Amino acid sequence: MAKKRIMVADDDPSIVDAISMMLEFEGYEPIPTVDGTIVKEMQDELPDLLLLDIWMSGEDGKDICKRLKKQESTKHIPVIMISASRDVEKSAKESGADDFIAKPFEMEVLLSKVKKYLQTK
Amino acid sequence: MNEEIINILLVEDDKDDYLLFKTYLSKLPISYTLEWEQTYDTGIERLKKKSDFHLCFVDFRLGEKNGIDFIKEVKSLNLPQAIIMLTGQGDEQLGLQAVRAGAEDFYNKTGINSETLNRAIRFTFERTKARSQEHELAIAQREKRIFSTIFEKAPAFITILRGKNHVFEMANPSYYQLIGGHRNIINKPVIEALPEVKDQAFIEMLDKVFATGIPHIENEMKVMLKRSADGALEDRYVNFVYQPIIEQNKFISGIFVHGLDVTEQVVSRIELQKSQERLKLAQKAGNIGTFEWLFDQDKVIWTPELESIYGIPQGSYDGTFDAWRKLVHPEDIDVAETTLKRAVKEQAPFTIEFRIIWPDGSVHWILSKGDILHDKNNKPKRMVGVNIDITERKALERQKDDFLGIASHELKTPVTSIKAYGQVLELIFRKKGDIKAAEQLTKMDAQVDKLSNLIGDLLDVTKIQSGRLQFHEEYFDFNELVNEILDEMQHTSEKHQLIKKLDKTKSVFGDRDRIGQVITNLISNAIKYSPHADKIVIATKVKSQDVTLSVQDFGVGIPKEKQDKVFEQFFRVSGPKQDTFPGLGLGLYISSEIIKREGGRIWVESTEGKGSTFCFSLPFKAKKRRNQTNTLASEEVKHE
Repeated sequence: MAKKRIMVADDDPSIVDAISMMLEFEGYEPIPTVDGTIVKEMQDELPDLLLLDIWMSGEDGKDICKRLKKQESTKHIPVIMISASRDVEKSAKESGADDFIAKPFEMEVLLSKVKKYLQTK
Repeated sequence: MNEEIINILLVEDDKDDYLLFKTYLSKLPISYTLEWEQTYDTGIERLKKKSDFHLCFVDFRLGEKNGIDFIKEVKSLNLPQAIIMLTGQGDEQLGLQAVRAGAEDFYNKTGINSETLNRAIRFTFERTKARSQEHELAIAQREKRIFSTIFEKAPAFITILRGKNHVFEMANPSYYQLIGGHRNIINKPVIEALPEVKDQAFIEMLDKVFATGIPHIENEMKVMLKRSADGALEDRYVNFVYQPIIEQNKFISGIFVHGLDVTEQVVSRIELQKSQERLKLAQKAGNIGTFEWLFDQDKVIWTPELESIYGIPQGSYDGTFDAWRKLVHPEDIDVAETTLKRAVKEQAPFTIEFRIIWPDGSVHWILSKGDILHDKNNKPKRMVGVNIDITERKALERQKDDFLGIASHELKTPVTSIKAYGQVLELIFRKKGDIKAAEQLTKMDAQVDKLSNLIGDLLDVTKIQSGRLQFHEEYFDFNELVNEILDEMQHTSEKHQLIKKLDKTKSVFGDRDRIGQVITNLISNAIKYSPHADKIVIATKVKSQDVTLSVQDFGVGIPKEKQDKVFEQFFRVSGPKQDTFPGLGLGLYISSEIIKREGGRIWVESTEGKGSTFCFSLPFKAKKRRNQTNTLASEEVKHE
């Protein structure tokens, strides 16, 4: 069975790096990126799940999420929003994300959420 | 021989008796005048008009009235003349009555002869003369005493100046007090006695009064006097009158000067004016303006500074509430107006911040503070307060808030990756079987969580103060939340046992996460401040309107005087032996702000050394919330 591909989008490289390590440990294939535009414009080789920071440099994570959830080709991809703000829940709901995680997070929480959305797919 | 003339009045209705009296009188060796009145009334009138009668003889029989009534009336009118009553043969009793009524003597006219009449007249005359001289002397002495008391003791200064050179004739102690007690002024002209008053306009005024005879009055006139022997000039202020002394032949002989030294009043008034000016200056410099709202006239008075604070031309504020209303930012006017009206209704002091818009369109922040003043009957009479332009402060606060917001957000990013790396590393060690290293990393992870909470607190405070703390409210099961938190916290707390005493609760409306944050904060405080205890009791109590949660510890407690300060920012309890407990002192402040915003109440009961019970209550029903503090701006920060 092919590894599930998870896109990790955050404008801080160390976070992208750390999350990617966690995902690799669990046997996923992370697709790290620090560029919001890449996420927004993705067409081919779509990931199975997207971990998206709300505050991307140059691009607002909320806008990216809204756009992906509108597009026919991408709207099936589960999006879990990540933010340092305690108010992430509201932003996540407003932009149509499937779930949210506040920074800093427990690895177990992140992994269990990832697992949950990959199973239901 | 006696040179004195004795003036006699006879009141007698019988003409024959008059003639007889006149005849006997003419034989006496005295100089006299005699006048005759025939009736009671004309007799009284005569005595009233002419006071130089020495003696009045009055017959007992006077038509319908009698001599005794006459005597009584004369005495009641306080007329000075001596009275002798004439009686008939054997009327001794009547005579005694007359003397009792005030007569000097009585005389039996049937036995009239020169010798007895002479005796009666002379004796009475001498006796009354001596008495009246004594009386006059006493009056004169009394008048003199009164005058000298007035002159000596009067707070007013009095002096008499004689002649065209205004020579001091007399001066009272108050006058010496004014000019200085060391001076010798009597018999000297003013210009010699008080040389320093030259060119101070006084001499000219005196000359004019002396020449014209017209009095001169001055109020609060300044005079510079050498009041002490060392000769320094002192300023005094006087109210005075120059009254010309006009003799009977219209000749002006001098000037009567009297007046008051009003220096103290004038000086204190000048001081008051100065301090008001200083206050005005301070207000100008401090961007402070004062207002006064007179309720009975429905009028508002502004100081000029207030107009400049509102950016409107001097004198253009018309004194109406409405004119002020129009200057306030439309988004802030409702809260501002409600606050003012509530202050009036509750008769309580108020503090409010609001924005105003200047005629040029620029927005300024105002801090307004004031109170209600009452009249004698305790009715609210007026509102007095200040407005301070705090635009600059607000901008700085905003900058500070933004900085703290960005700074704590920026701090969270590295903390997040440290935590993530640590967790991955822990996983690696665990997989390798290096349990010791893995446990070290678990401990590190707990410390990272603490750091992360501190950053979270800083961010929350920033949001509270800038009015950007957001709430996501919904109905939730209160006990379920409490249980969740307790399970999690029991997990990390080895020493303390968390004991639950929960009532059955209904759902509560509010922000579940924020309320959870408060419960967590109270429990972690309880653990932190009871290092030597081993249990914490957490209880919920349900009443008809609300649910109360209490967290009881058995730790250090809080001294009574500090109990109402614990919900303030940066407050921290110091433990025994000057131990301090770590923390920023923000947790309870944030908790109390959250509970207040959720329409609830938070409080503490504590005994020093025995422990504390922190409680909060929340209403079951969703309440319309009070507009948070009085800060009204609420925009989203860009990074949220």
